[in-house]
Amino acid sequence: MIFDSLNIAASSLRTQQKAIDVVSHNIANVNTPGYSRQAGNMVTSTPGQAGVLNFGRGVEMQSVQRMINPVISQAQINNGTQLSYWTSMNSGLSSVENVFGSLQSTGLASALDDFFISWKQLANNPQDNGQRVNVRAKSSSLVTSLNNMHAQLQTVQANTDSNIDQAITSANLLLNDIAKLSTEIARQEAGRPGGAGAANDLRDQREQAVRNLAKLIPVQNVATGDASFMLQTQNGDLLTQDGVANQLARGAAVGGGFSSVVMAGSGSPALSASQGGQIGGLLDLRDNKIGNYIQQVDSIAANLIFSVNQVHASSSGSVNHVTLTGEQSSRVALPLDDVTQIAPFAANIQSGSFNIHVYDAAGAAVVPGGTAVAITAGVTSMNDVATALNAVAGITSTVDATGRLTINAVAGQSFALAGDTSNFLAAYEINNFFQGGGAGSLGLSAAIQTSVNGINTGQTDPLTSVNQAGDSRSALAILALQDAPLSVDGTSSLSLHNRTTSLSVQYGTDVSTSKQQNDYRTVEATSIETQRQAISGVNVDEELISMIKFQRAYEASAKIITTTNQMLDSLLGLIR
Amino acid sequence: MRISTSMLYNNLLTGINKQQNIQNLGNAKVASGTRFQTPAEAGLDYKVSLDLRHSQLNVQSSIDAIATVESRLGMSQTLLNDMSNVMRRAQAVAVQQSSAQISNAERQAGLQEMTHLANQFLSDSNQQWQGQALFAGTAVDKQAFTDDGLGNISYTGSAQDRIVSVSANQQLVSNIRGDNPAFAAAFTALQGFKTALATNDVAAMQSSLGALSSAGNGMIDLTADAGARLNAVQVSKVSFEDMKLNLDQRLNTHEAVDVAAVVAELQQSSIALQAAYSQVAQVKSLSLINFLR
Repeated sequence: MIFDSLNIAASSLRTQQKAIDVVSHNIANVNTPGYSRQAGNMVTSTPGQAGVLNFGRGVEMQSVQRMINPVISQAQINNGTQLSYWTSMNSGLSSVENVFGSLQSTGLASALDDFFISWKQLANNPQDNGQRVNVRAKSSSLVTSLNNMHAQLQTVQANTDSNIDQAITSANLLLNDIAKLSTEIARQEAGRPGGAGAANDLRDQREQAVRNLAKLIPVQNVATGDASFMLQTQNGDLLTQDGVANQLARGAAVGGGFSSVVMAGSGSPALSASQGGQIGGLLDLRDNKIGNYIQQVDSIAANLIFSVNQVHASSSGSVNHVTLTGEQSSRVALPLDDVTQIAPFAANIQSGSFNIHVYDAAGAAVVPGGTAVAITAGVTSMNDVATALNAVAGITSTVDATGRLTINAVAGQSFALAGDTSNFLAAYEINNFFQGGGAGSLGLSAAIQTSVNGINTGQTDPLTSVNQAGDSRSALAILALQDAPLSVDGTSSLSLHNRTTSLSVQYGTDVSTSKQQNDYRTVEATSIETQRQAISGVNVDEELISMIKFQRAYEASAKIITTTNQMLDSLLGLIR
Repeated sequence: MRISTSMLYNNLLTGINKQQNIQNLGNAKVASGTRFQTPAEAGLDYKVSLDLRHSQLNVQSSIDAIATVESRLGMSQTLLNDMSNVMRRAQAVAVQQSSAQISNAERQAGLQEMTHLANQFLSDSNQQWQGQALFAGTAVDKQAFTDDGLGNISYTGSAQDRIVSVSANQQLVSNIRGDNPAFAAAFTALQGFKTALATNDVAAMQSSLGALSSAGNGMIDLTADAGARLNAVQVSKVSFEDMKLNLDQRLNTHEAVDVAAVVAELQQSSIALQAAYSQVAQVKSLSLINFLR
């Protein structure tokens, strides 16, 4: 029986040593992300029976358990998905902050104001070429501002798209890790039911990997009933099960020319932009937020270009034209407003006419009142226009290989264009002020870039064909566009200033919403992490106390061995 | 609740981050003097700032436009005043010359003066201001009146006024046009009197008196019209200057930061930050490790 004490003390030594190993492991991993504190589950050894008495046989370590709460773990996964979505959104929106200006430099808003004020100054002094120089300078500044906004937004959009690639790569690596960990866990736990051989650290690693994956793409853990581990997208596509990992990939191009994110095998959409996760946030940022800003900037540019050109194309300047070439090409034989025409505003052409006034060398009108050139929507082609112009005395007209119309006055004569009710001149950028169809392609007309004399301020008299140097009617009409509601592209009718400020407000609201949500999700993350730490976190003081407790038990067990040894000595001494 | 070691440090770190954020924002506000700088900080407030600045620029451009009108009308008024003086002198000469006591030689001297006066009137009528004809309407690059050499003066300007846009709803005529009947009446009266002098026709001279007087009144009326328009423009200018002042004040009130409030917040945050720093040091020393040596 005396040996039983030795065996019991030995079992205690072994068990306390193992318990101290667990404490040591906890302290070692006090700062390891995703680590769940472990505790040895000590149980009494199976008792022995001596006669009618049951005698304990010591202690043994039945299992080592992780301290976890699955509800909190799931909450962390959900929170991680939402937090990453709003973090990527907020950080992406912050990266375009400079595009929208600041009070120090209000960007597009002040460029637009300066543009219209320069027209006001020209309208009030139309004979002053210095004012024309000023209009050209302010217009160039506005063009640069819109071009830069467009380019910067497009750059950020492209960078966001690249970030999606990186996130997909990270997600695929995590999926591989999870699959490998699942295989390893299954191998380690095989044949050890009841948690006795639970692969605690590997499970922690897998949960951490799942949390990291959930930050990239929304996932759902599916209970299989056979203890296997299955992870799906929110759309129900299998991401990983046990040792199998299905990869994410790029799909076909969606709106804006960028591609979606799909499951590599099936090609089905892996997620939508609104579902969350970093990839969802980047998709939303790329397609909806920045994509929308680009559309709005394009819309501002389109309304500016066409509205100004509508006025300018029917106007006269300080000198009459000797030659004019359209800046938009055409499919010469097709109707000017055909849907296949390349000119961005071809669809705005309607039935109407424009007048061409021809002047002799002395500047007198050849035909007072000019000659009308009729345009019929759906019928008149660029070739028809050239033919009609060639029938006007003193005018020759040609269409080049790209479908651009050129109008020439015969030697010694000149001409002016006026009264375009068809929008033909504005749509094909003849006698235009701006060129292009959106913020990216916006530019000043080639003629105005060459000479400020190309800036028109007045209107040719429809009866006498006379142009007056001090006539400012066209300049005033362009100035009137400043606060006029415009909608040449089918968007809501708003003034250019309102469009610009609305864009700033929308951006500000988007940032504010993303910041608010990001703050809320961060606080939520802190709270959930606190709850997780309360259960799974390591408290060094607690571990040290446990260590002392196990150390004391170890010392006591050792004392039993010493005492038992002494008892054996005593016993053996009787024999000697 | 069970506390883990990480929780102690995480909570302090969160607090420090929060206070540092308050310090950073407060410093930016104090440095810029404004409550916000970008649309990201305050979307709607930023829009109001853009609207106010938009209005400010427009009001300033309206004041500039009014200055243009003032300048043109002022110069026109000066010349019309000079033309009225010419007409007054012509009337005085007419009164003097229509006397039966005046000799032919004296009338020839009077004719010379009248020729000078008529030339002066024509010169005033064709006067340019900043290289632009004042009385030619929008045909600013042309002479307002031409003389056919026979003493017949005709208007060669345009029938269109020079419009100045002051604001979206206010456009002002900035010129006096030469096709106003007062000019034609003055030229006709001056020419009629010159002819009467040249032909020593006393009866015609006496009848010219009435025409000169009527034409002179016409020029005075035109001068008064220019003056009245100038006065109206100046009233409008005062109104725009008041608007400008108002907008300046509104913009300042809208954007300016409440420095006292921000400084108080900074001070409070600074105390909290110091306390958090001190607590980090204390948590470090409050560990069982320190008592197990």
